[in-house]
Amino acid sequence: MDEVNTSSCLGLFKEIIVDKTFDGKPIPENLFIVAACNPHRGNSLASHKTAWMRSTYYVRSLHPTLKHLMWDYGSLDKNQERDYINEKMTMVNKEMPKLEVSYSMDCCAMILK
Amino acid sequence: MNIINFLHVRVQISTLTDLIVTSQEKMRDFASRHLKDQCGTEMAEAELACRSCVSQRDIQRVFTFYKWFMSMYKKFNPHEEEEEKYHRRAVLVSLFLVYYMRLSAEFRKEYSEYLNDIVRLPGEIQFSEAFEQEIDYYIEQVELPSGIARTIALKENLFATIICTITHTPLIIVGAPGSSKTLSFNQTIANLRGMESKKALFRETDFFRSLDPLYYQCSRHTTSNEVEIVFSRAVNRQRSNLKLGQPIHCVVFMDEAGLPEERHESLKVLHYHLDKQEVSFVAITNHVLDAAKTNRAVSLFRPEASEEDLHTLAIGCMCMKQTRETPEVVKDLCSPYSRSMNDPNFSSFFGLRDFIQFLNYLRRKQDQKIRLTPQLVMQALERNFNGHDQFDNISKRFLCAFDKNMQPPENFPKKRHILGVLQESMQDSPSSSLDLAENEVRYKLIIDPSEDDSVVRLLFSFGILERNNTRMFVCSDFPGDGQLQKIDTIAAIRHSAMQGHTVIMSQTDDIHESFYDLFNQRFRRIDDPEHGPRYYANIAIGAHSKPSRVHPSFQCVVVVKKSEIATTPAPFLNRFEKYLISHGSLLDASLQQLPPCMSILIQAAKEKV
Repeated sequence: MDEVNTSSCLGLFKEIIVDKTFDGKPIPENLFIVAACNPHRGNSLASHKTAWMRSTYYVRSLHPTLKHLMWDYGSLDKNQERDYINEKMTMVNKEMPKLEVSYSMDCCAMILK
Repeated sequence: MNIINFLHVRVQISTLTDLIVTSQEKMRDFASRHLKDQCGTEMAEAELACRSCVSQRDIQRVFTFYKWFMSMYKKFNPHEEEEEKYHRRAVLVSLFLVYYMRLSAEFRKEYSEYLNDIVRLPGEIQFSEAFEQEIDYYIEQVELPSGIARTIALKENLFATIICTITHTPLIIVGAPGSSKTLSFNQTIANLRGMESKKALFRETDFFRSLDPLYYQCSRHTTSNEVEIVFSRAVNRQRSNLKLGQPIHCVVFMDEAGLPEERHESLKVLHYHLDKQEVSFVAITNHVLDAAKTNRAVSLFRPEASEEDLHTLAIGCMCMKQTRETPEVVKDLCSPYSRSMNDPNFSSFFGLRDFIQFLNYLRRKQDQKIRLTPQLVMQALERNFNGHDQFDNISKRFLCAFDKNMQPPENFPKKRHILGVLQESMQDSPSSSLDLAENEVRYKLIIDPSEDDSVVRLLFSFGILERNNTRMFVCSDFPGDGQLQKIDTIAAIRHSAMQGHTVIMSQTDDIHESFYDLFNQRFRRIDDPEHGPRYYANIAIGAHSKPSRVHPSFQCVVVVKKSEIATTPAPFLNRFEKYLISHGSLLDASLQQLPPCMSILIQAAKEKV
């Protein structure tokens, strides 16, 4: 269930995730619920009129019960991001074989000239 | 010697990977500084918040653009250089689109200087050169109607719109009203017409598909249902185009995407479609959208028009035929405008459109051989910067900048009576020789300080409007008169626009947003061989936006209560010539028409009371 905290029926989601029932009826055992949401950031991050970026998501605050279950997935750190970019680079390389990936190659070419 | 110099060159960046990693970190740094300095956020919170400023989606976008540019250079070689140079140029332009365009002016400068520094290689192209040349290349290929100044704002808007629509990357343009956002979209559509494009480059349909726009006008009452309908229509059309093998891209265009109130969450449905990218998307807004939407699109941030842009605009508006008065005088008129925009009182009421129309008025009078004098400037101000309590301050600022020797109030030009100005405006019709698409005379907005709507009746009795020539439209907010009444009114106004009637709209706040495109007056012109040129604007009812014909003699007067001005969006106010008509001003007009003995009598009576 994506973006659970943007909806106005958070109580229902709490019931599904925590109580494992839907409208009172129990959910089958072989159903595994995963929910995702964006973090709620308060008004202290309210944007300036001339802001070029906003870090707030338009979401409601999570139910206290759901907050206990919440896990901060975080984001890629610098090294993981570099690895990700390298992977993508390799994939693009396969599609465009004549790709020069290195400026150091440019430099070597300059030196050799 | 060369090798030694060369080794001293700071080649810290050895791969494209490094450039992207550096850009991501730089963006986070800018975001955290922005949050701390401009928004006053605590350091810890800012650090946490800025991490999500850029994400994997941005990295993905860099690669998408990179691939497109590389294949484009391989086919067309637009800058006439060797193949080894393509890679570097494609990288730098992709970084421009994904990172640079999003930043405000001060951070743009910093980012540009940083990149210029670290990728400096002798004989190789710099970051700023790369994107400037790329933008200029596309601008040369675009045909624009005369009278449109090629400001940096317009050029960047056009470039971003072309590339993003062709690559199916969503684009959000954030900027103040009047900064040529809608104009650039309309011009992109007019130029990219597949095999029917005027310029050869855009006829290459492998790269430049024809664009099929679907317009949606956002309003404060937008619902997610309406947005979903527009997207479904676009997706269905795109799928049938693909099936038929037609080289057409559907583009969903959302105007005023900043208007829907966030508490109604009506734009939530966008997230799914922006991720899927089955159709192109361009949204225009006056302020930045929330983080979830910004993350899924390329953002182009348009700061307030720079001095340079204002000058280009002013010279472009005034000096169309290159036989005008000295451009120095024209530049003098820019500084009072930009100084006034720093005043929140002024900037929430007036905008760039007012300034452009002010310049257009001066140019039209000069075309009629009237000299540029303080009196003429005052007349132009009365037409275009009126309706505000502080009009006297505004006019003083402009006139003192125009004529440095001006000594108010002695040799200050006299203000005409408001009714005289309004009368002149109503009779001012677009000259038939000029293209209506160039938007000569704006519609009028009457600000009524009374609460009983009496100014409408008075407009008739003072002869500003004629009863038998004017159609009057009033909306009611009785509970029983709901949606159907609004639809009827919109349809009737649409009919009047087609027929060229004069229309007065009162208490129609709920339906104003249907006519935003009409009020903008940037009509699309289609030349009919039998009937001559025809002009079209979009009129929206809910999710449905249809182009409607507008007759050149259509004139519109909208009446708004003064108490509601504070809550009226600035982009709406900007589109009109504004007039504040109170009972006091109308009474003065009547008194002036009386013979002198009567006015002495009335004066004596006033003193007795």
